[in-house]
Amino acid sequence: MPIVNCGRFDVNYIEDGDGFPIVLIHGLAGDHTAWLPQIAAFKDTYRVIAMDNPGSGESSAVDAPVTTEELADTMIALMDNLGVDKAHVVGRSLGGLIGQHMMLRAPERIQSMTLAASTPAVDRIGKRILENMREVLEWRDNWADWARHSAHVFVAPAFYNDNPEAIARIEALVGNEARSKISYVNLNHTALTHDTSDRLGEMTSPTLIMAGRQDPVCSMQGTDELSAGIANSETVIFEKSSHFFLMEEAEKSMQTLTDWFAKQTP
Amino acid sequence: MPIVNTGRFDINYIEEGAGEPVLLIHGLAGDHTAWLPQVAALKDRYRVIAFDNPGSGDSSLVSEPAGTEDLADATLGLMDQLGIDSAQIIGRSMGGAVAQHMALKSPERVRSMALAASFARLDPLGAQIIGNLQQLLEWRPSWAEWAPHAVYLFVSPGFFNANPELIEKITALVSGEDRDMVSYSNLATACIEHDALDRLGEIQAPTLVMGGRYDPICSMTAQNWMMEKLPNAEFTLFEESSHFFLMEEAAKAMSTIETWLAKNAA
Repeated sequence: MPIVNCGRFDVNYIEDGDGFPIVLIHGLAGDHTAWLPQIAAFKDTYRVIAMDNPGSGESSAVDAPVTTEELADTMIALMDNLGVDKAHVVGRSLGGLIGQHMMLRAPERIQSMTLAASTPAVDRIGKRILENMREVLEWRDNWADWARHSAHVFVAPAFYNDNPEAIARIEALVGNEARSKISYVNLNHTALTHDTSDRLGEMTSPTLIMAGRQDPVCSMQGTDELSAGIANSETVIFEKSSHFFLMEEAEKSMQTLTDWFAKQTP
Repeated sequence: MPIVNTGRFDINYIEEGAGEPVLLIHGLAGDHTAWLPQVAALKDRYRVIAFDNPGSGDSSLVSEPAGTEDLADATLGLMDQLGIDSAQIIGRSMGGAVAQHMALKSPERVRSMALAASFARLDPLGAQIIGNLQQLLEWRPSWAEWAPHAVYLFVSPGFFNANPELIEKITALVSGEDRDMVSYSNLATACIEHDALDRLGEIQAPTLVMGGRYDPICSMTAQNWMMEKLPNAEFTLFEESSHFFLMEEAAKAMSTIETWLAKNAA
């Protein structure tokens, strides 16, 4: 996988397929592999690019505080490096917070924006959960304990109970001891301090908002604010899901993205 | 408040009103004060008894392991002491697990049973969460540190976000450092080990099962398991709530209980 310099951070990325570009930005606890199902589904029609965010996978660590604005600059620099003028951008969770600032800083680069499990500002229960997660990591200093104390908020109860193998996979993935703890702590703070509440009106790109009805991390409060604040948006709710509806309701979410890209591609 | 001996445990209780007896059994993290709104609402029509479970409030500690059957014996012992032949029983969470064993041991003493956010067997998610809460207390033996990791699970995201003062009050309440940690841990184990699911078919008492849609501890999985096995049960769903629907949807919960008790009165 190639690594390119994007200013403050070196970024590891993959790309696959040809056609109009799609840029996929993962969340706080993931890396580019979070997108493998989407890459497989879209590479026959689009040029699909997925990266490890700074602080994840093979990209630079985030060993000092960073803001979502700076991470948006990193993503735009990656597009520069790859000669991508304009793209469909999809951001999940922290990736959607970054995507909001991409719309504000470089609207001409955004063909469409998808905000999956996102929010203009992390709400009270989301803050509580992020602080709990950071605390558990500080108390235990290992990812395995963190994973067992975190996985339950990412999926809805019924999904958790009906899919023990998927839960074991999630715990193994987010329990990977190679993950950088300092990066996580910094990015956790990045999410907590993100706030575009007063700037939603400036976001003019066509925007797809997707949310899980039962998500406590990015709850319906933030979703409703995004839907009300971004004029050129449509919203799809995943009734049976929590934060991971891209996996929990995989078929519906993939179809939603397929239809969205088809509609928004010039 | 009077304290009576019921064999292994001394029990601290309150009673108010006159009429047919209604016995209220609280859950793992509470004491009899969890029921004050119900005591106030029901005392004009019923003889209402609420008590501190063993391990809570001013009742005996649970310094050695105890199962939900032992707690059922203690509660039946309390009924003996109070001269109550039979009662309508309302148990929330672990209190509902205790009620099930009362109905199995002494069916003639349980006129009806209401199970609020309860379980006959914890589902995988419920067992994980109770195990996590037990583990957090081992890692950090401080209720003040424990409370923020527990309270967000008890209410729905919408309720948490909309009621910051109440959340602070609940957090302060469960942060009370006089609670006995050994009792808590033994009772958490009792919850994890409680398994009356395959015996629910023996319970002929009319049973009301109430569940919160967002409850991760006693999720719809566990509610459905009980409904499949109980021969004489009806179900009420609290659409907007988690584990604390008696508070989150207080008016609906109270009228559901009042209707239930009236229907099953002699």
